[in-house]
Amino acid sequence: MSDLTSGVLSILHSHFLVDADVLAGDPTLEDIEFDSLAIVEFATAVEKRFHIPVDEDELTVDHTISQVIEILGQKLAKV
Amino acid sequence: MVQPGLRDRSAVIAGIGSWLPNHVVTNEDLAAQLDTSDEWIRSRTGIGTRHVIDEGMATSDLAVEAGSRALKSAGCPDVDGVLVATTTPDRPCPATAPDVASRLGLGSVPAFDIAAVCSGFVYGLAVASGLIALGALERVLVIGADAYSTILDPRDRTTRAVFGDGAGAVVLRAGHADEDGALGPFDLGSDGALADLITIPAGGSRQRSSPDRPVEREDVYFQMQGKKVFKNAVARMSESAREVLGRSGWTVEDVDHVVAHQANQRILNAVAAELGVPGERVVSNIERVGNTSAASIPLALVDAARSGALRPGDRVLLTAFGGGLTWGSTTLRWPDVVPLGR
Repeated sequence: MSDLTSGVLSILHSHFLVDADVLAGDPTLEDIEFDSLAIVEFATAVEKRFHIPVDEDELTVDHTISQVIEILGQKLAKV
Repeated sequence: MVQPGLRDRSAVIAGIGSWLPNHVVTNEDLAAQLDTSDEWIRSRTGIGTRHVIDEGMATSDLAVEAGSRALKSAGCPDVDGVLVATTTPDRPCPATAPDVASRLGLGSVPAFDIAAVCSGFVYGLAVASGLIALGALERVLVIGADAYSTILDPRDRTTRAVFGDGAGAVVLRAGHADEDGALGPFDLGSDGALADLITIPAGGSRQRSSPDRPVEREDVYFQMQGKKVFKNAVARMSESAREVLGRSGWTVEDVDHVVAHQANQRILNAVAAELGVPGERVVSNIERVGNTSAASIPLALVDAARSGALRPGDRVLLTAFGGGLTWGSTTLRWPDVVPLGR
Protein backbone atom coordinates (compact mmCIF):
# COMPACT_ATOMS: atom_id res chain seq x y z
CA MET A 1 0.00 0.00 0.00
CA SER A 2 1.39 3.43 -0.94
CA ASP A 3 1.97 6.10 1.68
CA LEU A 4 -0.81 8.11 0.07
CA THR A 5 -3.31 5.25 0.26
CA SER A 6 -2.48 4.40 3.84
CA GLY A 7 -2.53 8.10 4.76
CA VAL A 8 -5.95 8.69 3.20
CA LEU A 9 -7.39 5.57 4.84
CA SER A 10 -5.88 6.63 8.15
CA ILE A 11 -7.48 10.10 7.91
CA LEU A 12 -10.86 8.55 7.07
CA HIS A 13 -10.56 6.06 9.91
CA SER A 14 -9.19 8.31 12.67
CA HIS A 15 -10.68 11.68 11.73
CA PHE A 16 -14.02 10.62 10.25
CA LEU A 17 -14.42 7.37 12.26
CA VAL A 18 -15.10 5.18 9.20
CA ASP A 19 -14.61 1.43 9.89
CA ALA A 20 -11.75 -0.27 8.07
CA ASP A 21 -14.22 -2.93 6.86
CA VAL A 22 -16.34 -0.28 5.19
CA LEU A 23 -13.29 1.35 3.56
CA ALA A 24 -12.22 -2.03 2.17
CA GLY A 25 -15.38 -2.05 0.04
CA ASP A 26 -14.27 1.15 -1.81
CA PRO A 27 -17.39 3.18 -0.99
CA THR A 28 -18.20 6.58 -2.43
CA LEU A 29 -17.82 9.59 -0.14
CA GLU A 30 -21.60 9.77 -0.01
CA ASP A 31 -21.71 6.15 1.17
CA ILE A 32 -19.60 7.15 4.18
CA GLU A 33 -21.99 10.06 4.81
CA PHE A 34 -19.76 12.85 3.57
CA ASP A 35 -21.42 16.17 2.80
CA SER A 36 -19.84 19.27 1.25
CA LEU A 37 -18.36 20.44 4.56
CA ALA A 38 -16.88 17.01 5.29
CA ILE A 39 -15.08 17.26 1.94
CA VAL A 40 -13.56 20.58 3.09
CA GLU A 41 -12.47 19.00 6.38
CA PHE A 42 -11.00 16.03 4.52
CA ALA A 43 -9.19 18.29 2.01
CA THR A 44 -7.71 20.30 4.88
CA ALA A 45 -6.48 17.15 6.62
CA VAL A 46 -4.91 15.89 3.36
CA GLU A 47 -3.21 19.26 2.75
CA LYS A 48 -1.66 19.15 6.19
CA ARG A 49 -0.47 15.57 5.92
CA PHE A 50 0.88 15.56 2.38
CA HIS A 51 1.61 19.28 1.86
CA ILE A 52 -0.34 19.39 -1.41
CA PRO A 53 -2.97 22.04 -2.13
CA VAL A 54 -6.42 20.41 -2.46
CA ASP A 55 -9.27 22.49 -3.85
CA GLU A 56 -12.43 21.17 -2.23
CA ASP A 57 -14.26 21.64 -5.54
CA GLU A 58 -12.10 18.91 -7.11
CA LEU A 59 -13.70 16.27 -4.93
CA THR A 60 -17.38 15.34 -4.93
CA VAL A 61 -19.48 13.00 -2.82
CA ASP A 62 -19.86 10.76 -5.91
CA HIS A 63 -16.14 9.93 -5.95
CA THR A 64 -15.11 6.55 -4.58
CA ILE A 65 -12.20 6.32 -2.16
CA SER A 66 -10.01 4.85 -4.91
CA GLN A 67 -10.92 7.74 -7.23
CA VAL A 68 -10.07 10.21 -4.48
CA ILE A 69 -6.69 8.54 -4.01
CA GLU A 70 -6.10 8.66 -7.78
CA ILE A 71 -6.89 12.40 -7.93
CA LEU A 72 -4.63 13.09 -4.97
CA GLY A 73 -1.91 10.86 -6.47
CA GLN A 74 -1.86 12.96 -9.64
CA LYS A 75 -1.46 16.09 -7.54
CA LEU A 76 1.28 14.54 -5.46
CA ALA A 77 3.16 13.51 -8.60
CA LYS A 78 3.26 17.15 -9.75
CA VAL A 79 4.81 18.41 -6.52
CA MET B 1 0.62 59.57 21.72
CA VAL B 2 -0.66 58.13 24.97
CA GLN B 3 -0.98 60.79 27.65
CA PRO B 4 1.23 60.59 30.76
CA GLY B 5 -0.48 58.71 33.56
CA LEU B 6 -2.34 56.38 31.21
CA ARG B 7 0.13 53.53 31.42
CA ASP B 8 -1.67 50.20 32.02
CA ARG B 9 -5.01 51.89 31.43
CA SER B 10 -7.31 49.33 29.83
CA ALA B 11 -10.89 48.97 28.73
CA VAL B 12 -12.82 46.84 31.23
CA ILE B 13 -16.23 45.21 30.72
CA ALA B 14 -18.62 46.88 33.16
CA GLY B 15 -21.94 45.52 31.90
CA ILE B 16 -23.40 43.21 29.26
CA GLY B 17 -26.83 42.76 27.71
CA SER B 18 -28.53 41.08 24.77
CA TRP B 19 -31.85 40.92 23.01
CA LEU B 20 -33.57 38.57 20.58
CA PRO B 21 -36.76 39.33 18.68
CA ASN B 22 -39.87 37.32 19.67
CA HIS B 23 -40.46 35.58 16.36
CA VAL B 24 -38.83 32.12 16.29
CA VAL B 25 -38.34 30.28 12.99
CA THR B 26 -37.87 26.52 13.38
CA ASN B 27 -36.25 24.15 10.90
CA GLU B 28 -39.72 22.74 10.25
CA ASP B 29 -40.92 26.23 9.32
CA LEU B 30 -38.12 26.45 6.74
CA ALA B 31 -38.80 22.93 5.46
CA ALA B 32 -42.40 24.00 4.76
CA GLN B 33 -41.11 26.70 2.37
CA LEU B 34 -37.85 25.36 0.96
CA ASP B 35 -36.25 22.10 -0.18
CA THR B 36 -34.69 21.29 3.19
CA SER B 37 -35.31 19.33 6.38
CA ASP B 38 -34.58 19.47 10.09
CA GLU B 39 -32.04 16.65 9.69
CA TRP B 40 -30.28 18.39 6.75
CA ILE B 41 -29.98 21.68 8.64
CA ARG B 42 -28.94 20.16 11.96
CA SER B 43 -26.30 17.86 10.46
CA ARG B 44 -24.67 20.68 8.45
CA THR B 45 -24.99 23.56 10.88
CA GLY B 46 -26.08 22.37 14.34
CA ILE B 47 -28.91 24.93 14.22
CA GLY B 48 -32.43 24.17 15.41
CA THR B 49 -34.09 27.59 15.68
CA ARG B 50 -33.34 31.23 14.95
CA HIS B 51 -35.10 34.48 15.85
CA VAL B 52 -36.14 36.99 13.19
CA ILE B 53 -37.57 40.48 13.33
CA ASP B 54 -41.10 41.18 12.19
CA GLU B 55 -42.03 43.57 9.38
CA GLY B 56 -41.46 47.15 10.45
CA MET B 57 -38.53 46.46 12.78
CA ALA B 58 -34.89 47.29 12.00
CA THR B 59 -31.38 46.73 13.31
CA SER B 60 -31.49 49.87 15.48
CA ASP B 61 -34.49 48.44 17.36
CA LEU B 62 -32.41 45.37 18.28
CA ALA B 63 -29.43 47.57 19.16
CA VAL B 64 -31.45 49.85 21.44
CA GLU B 65 -32.88 46.88 23.36
CA ALA B 66 -29.50 45.21 23.84
CA GLY B 67 -27.80 48.55 24.57
CA SER B 68 -30.31 49.51 27.26
CA ARG B 69 -29.77 46.15 28.97
CA ALA B 70 -25.99 46.58 28.90
CA LEU B 71 -26.31 50.06 30.42
CA LYS B 72 -28.59 48.70 33.15
CA SER B 73 -26.17 45.80 33.75
CA ALA B 74 -23.36 48.34 34.17
CA GLY B 75 -25.43 50.16 36.77
CA CYS B 76 -24.76 53.51 35.16
CA PRO B 77 -26.91 55.02 32.39
CA ASP B 78 -24.16 57.18 30.91
CA VAL B 79 -21.42 56.53 28.38
CA ASP B 80 -19.41 58.97 26.29
CA GLY B 81 -19.32 56.96 23.05
CA VAL B 82 -21.43 54.44 21.11
CA LEU B 83 -20.21 51.96 18.50
CA VAL B 84 -22.58 49.74 16.53
CA ALA B 85 -21.06 46.82 14.64
CA THR B 86 -23.45 45.74 11.91
CA THR B 87 -23.76 44.46 8.34
CA THR B 88 -27.40 45.50 8.18
CA PRO B 89 -27.55 49.21 9.04
CA ASP B 90 -31.04 50.72 9.05
CA ARG B 91 -30.09 52.58 5.85
CA PRO B 92 -26.95 52.98 3.68
CA CYS B 93 -26.54 56.53 5.03
CA PRO B 94 -26.22 57.69 7.76
CA ALA B 95 -24.77 55.22 10.26
CA THR B 96 -27.08 53.46 12.73
CA ALA B 97 -25.08 54.30 15.89
CA PRO B 98 -26.12 57.99 16.20
CA ASP B 99 -29.80 57.00 16.06
CA VAL B 100 -29.21 54.31 18.70
CA ALA B 101 -27.34 56.77 20.95
CA SER B 102 -30.12 59.31 20.59
CA ARG B 103 -32.87 56.81 21.38
CA LEU B 104 -30.93 55.62 24.44
CA GLY B 105 -30.94 59.20 25.70
CA LEU B 106 -27.15 59.49 25.54
CA GLY B 107 -27.12 63.04 24.20
CA SER B 108 -24.49 64.19 21.73
CA VAL B 109 -21.84 61.51 22.34
CA PRO B 110 -19.66 60.40 19.41
CA ALA B 111 -21.36 57.47 17.66
CA PHE B 112 -20.39 55.51 14.56
CA ASP B 113 -20.75 52.11 12.92
CA ILE B 114 -18.15 49.40 12.50
CA ALA B 115 -18.28 47.47 9.21
CA ALA B 116 -16.41 44.20 9.67
CA VAL B 117 -19.32 41.78 9.10
CA CYS B 118 -19.22 38.85 11.57
CA SER B 119 -15.94 40.11 13.09
CA GLY B 120 -17.56 43.47 13.82
CA PHE B 121 -18.02 43.02 17.56
CA VAL B 122 -14.35 42.14 18.15
CA TYR B 123 -13.28 45.00 15.86
CA GLY B 124 -15.60 47.27 17.86
CA LEU B 125 -14.07 46.13 21.15
CA ALA B 126 -10.61 46.87 19.74
CA VAL B 127 -11.55 50.38 18.53
CA ALA B 128 -13.29 51.24 21.81
CA SER B 129 -10.35 49.86 23.81
CA GLY B 130 -7.99 52.03 21.83
CA LEU B 131 -10.07 55.16 22.44
CA ILE B 132 -10.25 54.37 26.16
CA ALA B 133 -6.55 53.50 26.47
CA LEU B 134 -5.68 56.77 24.73
CA GLY B 135 -7.73 58.73 27.25
CA ALA B 136 -10.09 60.03 24.57
CA LEU B 137 -13.14 58.35 26.14
CA GLU B 138 -14.02 56.98 29.59
CA ARG B 139 -17.04 54.75 28.96
CA VAL B 140 -18.11 53.27 25.63
CA LEU B 141 -21.18 51.24 24.66
CA VAL B 142 -20.20 48.63 22.04
CA ILE B 143 -23.15 46.93 20.34
CA GLY B 144 -23.17 44.07 17.83
CA ALA B 145 -26.56 44.08 16.09
CA ASP B 146 -27.69 42.41 12.89
CA ALA B 147 -30.93 41.64 11.12
CA TYR B 148 -29.79 39.26 8.38
CA SER B 149 -33.38 38.24 7.69
CA THR B 150 -33.61 41.57 5.81
CA ILE B 151 -30.75 40.74 3.40
CA LEU B 152 -31.24 37.00 2.75
CA ASP B 153 -32.56 35.63 -0.53
CA PRO B 154 -35.94 34.09 0.41
CA ARG B 155 -35.16 31.23 -2.01
CA ASP B 156 -31.72 30.41 -0.55
CA ARG B 157 -32.11 27.36 1.68
CA THR B 158 -28.53 27.56 2.97
CA THR B 159 -28.29 31.15 4.21
CA ARG B 160 -31.86 31.16 5.50
CA ALA B 161 -31.06 28.11 7.61
CA VAL B 162 -27.84 29.58 9.00
CA PHE B 163 -28.61 33.19 9.92
CA GLY B 164 -30.78 34.72 12.63
CA ASP B 165 -31.36 38.23 13.97
CA GLY B 166 -30.28 39.58 17.36
CA ALA B 167 -28.11 42.01 19.28
CA GLY B 168 -25.64 41.98 22.13
CA ALA B 169 -23.79 44.82 23.85
CA VAL B 170 -21.17 45.61 26.45
CA VAL B 171 -20.32 48.76 28.36
CA LEU B 172 -16.56 49.29 28.52
CA ARG B 173 -15.09 51.60 31.17
CA ALA B 174 -11.56 52.83 31.77
CA GLY B 175 -9.77 50.58 34.24
CA HIS B 176 -6.56 48.75 34.89
CA ALA B 177 -5.05 45.90 32.87
CA ASP B 178 -4.89 43.70 35.99
CA GLU B 179 -8.63 43.78 36.66
CA ASP B 180 -11.08 41.04 35.79
CA GLY B 181 -12.91 42.18 32.66
CA ALA B 182 -9.90 44.04 31.22
CA LEU B 183 -9.63 43.32 27.50
CA GLY B 184 -6.23 41.90 26.68
CA PRO B 185 -4.16 42.27 23.55
CA PHE B 186 -5.95 42.12 20.21
CA ASP B 187 -5.10 40.34 17.00
CA LEU B 188 -6.95 41.74 13.97
CA GLY B 189 -6.58 40.94 10.29
CA SER B 190 -8.16 41.05 6.83
CA ASP B 191 -7.84 39.62 3.32
CA GLY B 192 -9.66 41.71 0.74
CA ALA B 193 -8.58 39.40 -2.10
CA LEU B 194 -11.32 37.05 -0.87
CA ALA B 195 -14.05 39.71 -0.63
CA ASP B 196 -16.33 37.75 -2.97
CA LEU B 197 -16.64 34.80 -0.57
CA ILE B 198 -19.12 36.75 1.61
CA THR B 199 -20.85 39.62 -0.16
CA ILE B 200 -23.89 41.61 -1.21
CA PRO B 201 -22.74 42.61 -4.72
CA ALA B 202 -25.22 45.43 -5.39
CA GLY B 203 -26.31 48.53 -3.53
CA GLY B 204 -22.90 50.14 -3.08
CA SER B 205 -20.92 52.47 -5.35
CA ARG B 206 -19.65 49.52 -7.45
CA GLN B 207 -23.10 48.44 -8.49
CA ARG B 208 -25.68 51.02 -7.50
CA SER B 209 -29.27 49.85 -7.65
CA SER B 210 -31.74 52.42 -8.95
CA PRO B 211 -35.14 52.36 -10.69
CA ASP B 212 -33.62 53.18 -14.10
CA ARG B 213 -30.64 50.86 -13.66
CA PRO B 214 -31.93 47.55 -12.26
CA VAL B 215 -29.46 44.92 -11.04
CA GLU B 216 -29.57 41.13 -11.18
CA ARG B 217 -32.11 39.81 -8.70
CA GLU B 218 -29.62 37.75 -6.67
CA ASP B 219 -27.11 40.62 -6.45
CA VAL B 220 -29.23 42.53 -3.95
CA TYR B 221 -29.03 39.59 -1.54
CA PHE B 222 -26.35 38.27 0.79
CA GLN B 223 -24.21 35.60 -0.90
CA MET B 224 -21.77 33.18 0.69
CA GLN B 225 -19.47 30.53 -0.77
CA GLY B 226 -19.94 28.04 2.04
CA LYS B 227 -17.07 25.60 1.47
CA LYS B 228 -14.38 28.24 1.00
CA VAL B 229 -15.76 30.22 3.94
CA PHE B 230 -15.64 27.11 6.11
CA LYS B 231 -12.00 26.46 5.26
CA ASN B 232 -10.90 30.08 5.77
CA ALA B 233 -12.93 30.50 8.96
CA VAL B 234 -11.30 27.52 10.63
CA ALA B 235 -7.80 28.51 9.52
CA ARG B 236 -8.07 32.22 10.38
CA MET B 237 -9.79 31.87 13.75
CA SER B 238 -7.30 29.17 14.81
CA GLU B 239 -4.28 31.24 13.73
CA SER B 240 -5.63 34.43 15.29
CA ALA B 241 -6.48 32.63 18.53
CA ARG B 242 -2.96 31.23 18.78
CA GLU B 243 -1.48 34.65 18.07
CA VAL B 244 -3.48 36.42 20.76
CA LEU B 245 -2.85 33.65 23.28
CA GLY B 246 0.87 34.10 22.69
CA ARG B 247 0.61 37.86 23.21
CA SER B 248 -1.43 37.27 26.39
CA GLY B 249 1.17 34.88 27.76
CA TRP B 250 -1.47 32.13 27.92
CA THR B 251 -1.35 28.58 26.61
CA VAL B 252 -4.33 26.71 25.19
CA GLU B 253 -4.55 24.84 28.51
CA ASP B 254 -5.00 28.15 30.35
CA VAL B 255 -8.23 28.94 28.51
CA ASP B 256 -11.42 28.10 30.42
CA HIS B 257 -13.82 29.12 27.63
CA VAL B 258 -13.43 29.69 23.91
CA VAL B 259 -16.17 32.03 22.69
CA ALA B 260 -15.85 31.96 18.92
CA HIS B 261 -18.16 33.59 16.41
CA GLN B 262 -21.15 31.27 16.24
CA ALA B 263 -20.87 30.68 12.49
CA ASN B 264 -21.76 27.01 12.30
CA GLN B 265 -21.41 24.24 14.91
CA ARG B 266 -19.05 22.33 12.61
CA ILE B 267 -16.79 25.37 12.33
CA LEU B 268 -16.77 25.64 16.13
CA ASN B 269 -15.89 21.93 16.39
CA ALA B 270 -13.14 22.25 13.78
CA VAL B 271 -11.59 25.31 15.48
CA ALA B 272 -11.63 23.47 18.81
CA ALA B 273 -9.96 20.43 17.22
CA GLU B 274 -7.36 22.60 15.51
CA LEU B 275 -6.52 24.40 18.76
CA GLY B 276 -6.67 21.23 20.85
CA VAL B 277 -9.39 22.62 23.14
CA PRO B 278 -11.78 20.06 24.66
CA GLY B 279 -15.34 20.48 23.38
CA GLU B 280 -16.75 21.31 26.83
CA ARG B 281 -14.68 24.51 26.90
CA VAL B 282 -16.21 25.77 23.67
CA VAL B 283 -19.23 27.98 24.29
CA SER B 284 -22.09 27.35 21.87
CA ASN B 285 -25.63 28.70 21.65
CA ILE B 286 -25.97 28.32 17.89
CA GLU B 287 -28.56 25.56 18.21
CA ARG B 288 -31.03 28.10 19.60
CA VAL B 289 -30.14 31.37 17.82
CA GLY B 290 -28.25 30.47 14.63
CA ASN B 291 -25.50 32.71 13.25
CA THR B 292 -26.33 36.28 14.34
CA SER B 293 -23.21 37.83 12.75
CA ALA B 294 -21.89 40.77 14.84
CA ALA B 295 -24.26 39.87 17.68
CA SER B 296 -23.08 36.29 18.06
CA ILE B 297 -20.21 36.72 20.54
CA PRO B 298 -22.04 38.97 23.04
CA LEU B 299 -25.16 36.77 22.76
CA ALA B 300 -23.04 33.69 23.50
CA LEU B 301 -21.34 35.47 26.43
CA VAL B 302 -24.68 36.46 27.95
CA ASP B 303 -26.05 32.93 27.59
CA ALA B 304 -22.92 31.36 29.10
CA ALA B 305 -22.83 33.83 31.98
CA ARG B 306 -26.54 33.45 32.75
CA SER B 307 -26.27 29.65 32.75
CA GLY B 308 -23.43 29.86 35.28
CA ALA B 309 -20.90 28.31 32.90
CA LEU B 310 -18.95 31.56 32.77
CA ARG B 311 -17.81 32.65 36.26
CA PRO B 312 -15.87 35.69 37.45
CA GLY B 313 -12.15 35.12 37.00
CA ASP B 314 -12.55 32.52 34.22
CA ARG B 315 -10.11 33.00 31.38
CA VAL B 316 -11.94 33.64 28.12
CA LEU B 317 -10.71 33.70 24.52
CA LEU B 318 -12.84 35.57 21.97
CA THR B 319 -12.25 34.90 18.28
CA ALA B 320 -14.25 35.96 15.24
CA PHE B 321 -14.22 35.63 11.47
CA GLY B 322 -16.35 37.26 8.82
CA GLY B 323 -16.74 38.82 5.41
CA GLY B 324 -14.00 41.06 4.17
CA LEU B 325 -12.46 38.73 4.89
CA THR B 326 -11.87 39.91 8.44
CA TRP B 327 -10.90 38.19 11.66
CA GLY B 328 -9.95 39.15 15.17
CA SER B 329 -9.32 37.81 18.67
CA THR B 330 -8.81 39.01 22.21
CA THR B 331 -8.62 37.60 25.74
CA LEU B 332 -10.01 38.58 29.13
CA ARG B 333 -10.75 37.24 32.59
CA TRP B 334 -14.51 37.26 33.05
CA PRO B 335 -15.68 40.10 35.32
CA ASP B 336 -18.27 40.00 38.10
CA VAL B 337 -21.13 41.49 36.10
CA VAL B 338 -24.85 40.74 35.96
CA PRO B 339 -25.77 39.77 32.39
CA LEU B 340 -29.17 40.97 31.24
CA GLY B 341 -30.65 39.26 28.22
CA ARG B 342 -33.70 38.00 26.50
